[in-house]
Amino acid sequence: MSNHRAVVTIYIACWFVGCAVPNSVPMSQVASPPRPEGTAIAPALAHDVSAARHLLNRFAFGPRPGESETVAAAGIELWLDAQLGSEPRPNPELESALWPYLGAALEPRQLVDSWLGRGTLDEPWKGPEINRRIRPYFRQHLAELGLLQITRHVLSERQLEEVMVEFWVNHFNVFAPKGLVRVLVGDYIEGALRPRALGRFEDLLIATARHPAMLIYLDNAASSSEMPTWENGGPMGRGRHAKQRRKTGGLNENYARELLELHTLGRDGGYTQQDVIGAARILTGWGVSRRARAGEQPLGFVFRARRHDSGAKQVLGEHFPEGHAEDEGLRLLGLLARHPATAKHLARKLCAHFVADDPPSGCLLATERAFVASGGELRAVLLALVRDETFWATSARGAKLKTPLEFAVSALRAVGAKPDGTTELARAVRRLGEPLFEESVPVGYLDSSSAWLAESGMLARMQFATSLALRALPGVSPDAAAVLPAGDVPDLLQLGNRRILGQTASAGTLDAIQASLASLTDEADRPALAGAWFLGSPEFQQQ
Amino acid sequence: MTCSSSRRSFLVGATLAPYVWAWPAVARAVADGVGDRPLVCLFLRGAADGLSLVVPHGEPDYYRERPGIAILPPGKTGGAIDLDGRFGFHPRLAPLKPLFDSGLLAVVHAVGSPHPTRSHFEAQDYMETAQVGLSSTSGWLARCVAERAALGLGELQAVALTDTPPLALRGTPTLVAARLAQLQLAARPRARQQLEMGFERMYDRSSTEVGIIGSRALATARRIRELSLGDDRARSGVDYPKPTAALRELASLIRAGLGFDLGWVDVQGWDTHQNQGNAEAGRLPVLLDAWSRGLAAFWADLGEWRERVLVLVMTEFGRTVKENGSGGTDHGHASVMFLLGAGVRGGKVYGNWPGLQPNQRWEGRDLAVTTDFREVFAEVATKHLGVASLAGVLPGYLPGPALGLLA
Repeated sequence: MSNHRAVVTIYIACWFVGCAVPNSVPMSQVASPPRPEGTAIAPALAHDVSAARHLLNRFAFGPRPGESETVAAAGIELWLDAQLGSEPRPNPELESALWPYLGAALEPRQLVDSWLGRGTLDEPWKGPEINRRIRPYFRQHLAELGLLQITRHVLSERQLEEVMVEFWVNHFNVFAPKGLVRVLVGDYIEGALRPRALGRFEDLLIATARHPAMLIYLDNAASSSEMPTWENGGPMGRGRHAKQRRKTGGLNENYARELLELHTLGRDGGYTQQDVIGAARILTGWGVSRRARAGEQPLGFVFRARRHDSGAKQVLGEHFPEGHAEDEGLRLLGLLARHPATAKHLARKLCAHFVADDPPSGCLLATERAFVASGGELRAVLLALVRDETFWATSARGAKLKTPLEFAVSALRAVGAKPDGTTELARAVRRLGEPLFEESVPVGYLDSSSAWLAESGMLARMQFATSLALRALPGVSPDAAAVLPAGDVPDLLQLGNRRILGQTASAGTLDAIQASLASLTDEADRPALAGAWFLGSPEFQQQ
Repeated sequence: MTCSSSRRSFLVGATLAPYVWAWPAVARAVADGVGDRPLVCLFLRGAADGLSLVVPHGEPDYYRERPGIAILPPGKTGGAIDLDGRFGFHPRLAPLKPLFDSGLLAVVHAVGSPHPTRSHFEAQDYMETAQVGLSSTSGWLARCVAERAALGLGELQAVALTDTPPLALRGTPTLVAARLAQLQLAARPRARQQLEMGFERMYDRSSTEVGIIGSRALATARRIRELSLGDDRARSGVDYPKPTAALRELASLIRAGLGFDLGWVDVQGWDTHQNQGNAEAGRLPVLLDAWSRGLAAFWADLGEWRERVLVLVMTEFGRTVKENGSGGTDHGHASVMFLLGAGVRGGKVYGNWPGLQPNQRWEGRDLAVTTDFREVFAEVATKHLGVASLAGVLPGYLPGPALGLLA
């Protein structure tokens, strides 16, 4: 394990002196755009505590103790400005909490080195064999990655970025336990998604399309030209060569289809089977490198001209002339990123995420317009969304069910809990029904209530609330006493309603908690059980 | 199926006093008729390759297009298990062959959607709602049982042992749990009692959707604990492969006579774009091995309920006739469905076989749909679930001559 530690140390040193985070695409395009002009948020909301709480529920993972009041006092616009800004702000609390787990975000090659010994991938290797050897390390690695993600969500001051990272994790879903995605998923999140979470959509699209995690997950790395060229055996090849071609050659449409359906145009985006085939042909040759040589990193992106179909293609009525190589893939991704159907699709997903499962047309219109006008600059898009009055409507407040992850993170934030360094916390979130990076289908975890409202899920939430409040959740040190100190029943009710539920408790909930607290034989149990009931209440499941 | 007044008054009682639940009353409800003929659905998510499950072993094009992954003809090592001279089971479906031979299991081939989509999500939505383009509508099975009294497992008509609530059941009270063991609150006994009562008090007062589901979850957890359904004591001695534990739990719920109409299990993993495999190695044989043994175990486990349960196995679409570049198949069109039950006219492969030559395929690449899946749904709805009129259940569907799958 000394190898592992050495690599981690180098990595952490980099972290603090600010070397570039390893990733497969140049970061130069990730600069923030100037703030667009527009109607500001209504003055009546600027210092309103309940509006601040609503904003913190949607543009953050819920308020920390007293945070709604602080944000309202300073002004909502100020908080938004900071969230939409691009300068990194020092956050020693987060950095020290992340320290033990930064190794989980190592580059794939370093990760393999740290597990299997230095230089493992510099020798000739086969995927199945490496897979077999890394498997014993994978579960712990995945739990560490999950903890890294949860810790950032809980402690980061850049909350909107965290919310958007989670949004993209699902929009551009990969399934961590598939083959070599096991060692690629950390780099995918930290290197491809996180740096661009508030950047330009097209950059995200390209970064995901080129990332080996996606190339393997949706099989593009296994796709190749249907029509063999002279270089890979000749059109009339016979015998052994023909057989070999048959075995390894041919299109795989998986990525191309999800690229159109899920990542860009959307189900109703007006594409046909011929467009899927055209896109798949254009992307042939985009694969994953197996060896170290000039310009190639093992497990990095590689374009293999031999596997590329260089014939003419047609996608969405656009002609792609013959004789092109990697460049036509980038042209395709640009075409898709700027397509009006993509703006519509992304507007719908963002409004459903931030406003309501069935998004109001005002939000759709404002968001789609901003997407088109800014060329997919996500800061401008989110600003338009939050400035639209539908975001603040009474009907939108508390209208969304929290996903299991949102519930867990918001509960930890509500009681000022700090992840203190065991991976048990990632396992607790897993038990809520949303194991991170383990959704096998490409659509990712949905964030609509119909996807999560289930009996087993509700009991799991009550269980999580109970464990957290009773200080029985390993890996977490809650500051529950600061939220609900010992006190008599009316005080506990009043404090719990204000601090945990932001005054949204129904009369029924308050009556029930009051009756339950009054029936407790041991008064010392009151604060913890009250905490469990408030965190596990129907109101706390909503945002 | 109408509902008797005794059951209605029982339901009112249950609503007024949710914790004072009398189990003998449930047994009475079952005797009255609702929930005594459950339909159990297995949805193979990801588009199962019908051409590997039920192999058209007389088709030269099948072998020509699938040099690496075809299932060989019967009689060869790793070959298909012949059913009728034209079709054969994948060798890993061997545990189902006795059910086919005894006339309990029927296959429908070249069955699929009238909708041309090759999107998993669109096709699953369509198959579960049986409506095109109305994504927020109710499920077709929920509409089938909408007329009935809500009863059974505490105001439940359906049980889904799945991660997420299936769209097909949307609109009917459904218990959703990935595993029954998850339906409990764990803590020290004294704390648990206090906590549980506190949560029950709170959730029973809430009229929101979250409140209703939370309240149902707590009530169900109590009953499942009382009946010990979530633990080993409920096991019947029948062995199930590990991945099919949901079937074991569903059988225990049915045997307990809880009186629900619909059971649902999702089976993931059928999207075999790569390493699909043939008879022995690969993703498909592994899945088929577990689930065919699981289904056979489920059937054996049902005991006297075998007379009354119908099992329907479906998938959203099939896969390309031609093998792709990575030892798998891409999204296609028609696939297969299975029906298992005492009322099934089994031992037969139903449907019109369209052939696999390029000009016989749909869009030149996929097995063509010759049986609309709604024909199967229609028979299940009318003959098993007792639906009188299909107009509301399968809107826009014009029934053709019935396949005669069910007696």
